Amino acid sequence: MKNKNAPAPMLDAPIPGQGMTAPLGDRPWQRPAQFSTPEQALSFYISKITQDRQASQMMDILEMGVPVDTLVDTVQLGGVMEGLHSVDVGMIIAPALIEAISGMADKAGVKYTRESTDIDEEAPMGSEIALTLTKMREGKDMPKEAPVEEVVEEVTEEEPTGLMARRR
Amino acid sequence: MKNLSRIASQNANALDSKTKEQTPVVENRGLLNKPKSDKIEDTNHISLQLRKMVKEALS
Repeated sequence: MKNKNAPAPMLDAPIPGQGMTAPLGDRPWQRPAQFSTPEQALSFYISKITQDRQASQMMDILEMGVPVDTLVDTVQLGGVMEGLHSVDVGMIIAPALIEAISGMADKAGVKYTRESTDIDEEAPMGSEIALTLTKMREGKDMPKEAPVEEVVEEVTEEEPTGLMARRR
Repeated sequence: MKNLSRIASQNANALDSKTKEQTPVVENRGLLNKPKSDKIEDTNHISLQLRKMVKEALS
């Protein structure tokens, strides 16, 4: 008997156990981490994010509305995947990284969201802002301004009306 | 997927507030209560120590 309420099977999902088919130690996170202590990992990240190019890229991302904690999560999980440090070390250094990036944004005068729960649902998303800016640049869908008519004020000179006034 | 860094940050905030609330323990100078190690300076969690370091460096 067919269950109509059952969800449709996901045919593009990996086969169960596929993740364990690679030989042990083949993945970077299966090898010993490059930085074993939180101090080493933090100094690595701090030296990276304080570089001019990286810092400006990060500020751009924050200005687009990405919360600091989401950015830190992406950065530190990337480090785990590259085998730089363990997940535990990543969790330990995360608050310090959030503090560092927030401090940098404060000093740069960038408006940012600290936590992902602080997101204003009604505020336009970064992608929406970017799309609107692109449209503005291209001049599409924007109401064209009506040509401004020049108003020429006619200056009328009042004629003197007094008895002693001279007439032209 | 859960945001691990947000959880870590919230955890650090909770630990920070907990350590602030704690009242200092009166030291018992008895022979049996001798401290095991004199080298321990900061008993805070390592994540709090690192955050404090970064705060001080930025200020």
